[in-house]
Amino acid sequence: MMSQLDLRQLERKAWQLYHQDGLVEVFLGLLLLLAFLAGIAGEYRFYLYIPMLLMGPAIILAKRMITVPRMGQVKFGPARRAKLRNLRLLAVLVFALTIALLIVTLRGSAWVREYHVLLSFGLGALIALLFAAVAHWKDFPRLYLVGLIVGTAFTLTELLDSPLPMLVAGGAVLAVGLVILVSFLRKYPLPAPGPGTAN
Amino acid sequence: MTTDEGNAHSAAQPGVIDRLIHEPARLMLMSYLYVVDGADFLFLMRQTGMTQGNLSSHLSKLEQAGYIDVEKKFVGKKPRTMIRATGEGREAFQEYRQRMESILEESKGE
Repeated sequence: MMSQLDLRQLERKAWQLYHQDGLVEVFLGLLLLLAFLAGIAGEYRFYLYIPMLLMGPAIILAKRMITVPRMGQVKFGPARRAKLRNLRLLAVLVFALTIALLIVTLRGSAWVREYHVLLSFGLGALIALLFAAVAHWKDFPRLYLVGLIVGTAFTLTELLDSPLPMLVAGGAVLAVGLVILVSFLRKYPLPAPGPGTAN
Repeated sequence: MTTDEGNAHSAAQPGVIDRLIHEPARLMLMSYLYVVDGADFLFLMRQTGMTQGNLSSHLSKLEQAGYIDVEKKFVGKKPRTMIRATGEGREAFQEYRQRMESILEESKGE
């Protein structure tokens, strides 16, 4: 019996069940759709950056309003918290990299135009790699596939010089997220009030 | 004193299986509480698939044995029950695992 009781697996199962709400996919899908809209909005694109920046707080709020009342609250152990610390470091790195990329693009350096194809593939690979790192540290296997979709969308957007791949990728990721979210809501309805079930 | 409580006390003796933990539902509860720092009532209900009454009853037994710490508080006007494994509970669970593993090892050798 004890050989079947793999505690690491149990902790992993609890963690993954807690994140089976599809919210990450929904918000990533929306983010890609906003990127598409920014691509066609011309001078009004600035207004679309605001909801993009609000996606982070929005996902935390949605988690509190949708997932916690249905799944309850849990404080995971130190090993899991250490993995999340790595993730925070990665977030800082990504932010710095994004700013650097923005500066390089805005300055319109000649080598950016010269190596455009190579840089487009590099950008897609980097995005897919970042998603893979998050998938690994967050024990979130679906993100490997999402990373591949997002990375491909970025590469194609650059190569085709059209935001259409963002629309396709955003639509696909959002649809997957909504299917998972609906299934989550059906499987875990709000509990009836009882001892200690308030959230 | 219930049979389980009596057995919980006997668990302190070396080589004796802790029957309080050995019961499948409580074993599952102790396993979850061992791998996380703390969880609320609803989380345990979702993870274990137990009913409210069943879960309450098992938690009471574990609390009486001093294996878990149950903290009841209010969030706004609603009650929330947070549950943590105590040091004693973690130790008992660890001992239980070791004991079961050694029994299984012994049975393999036969």
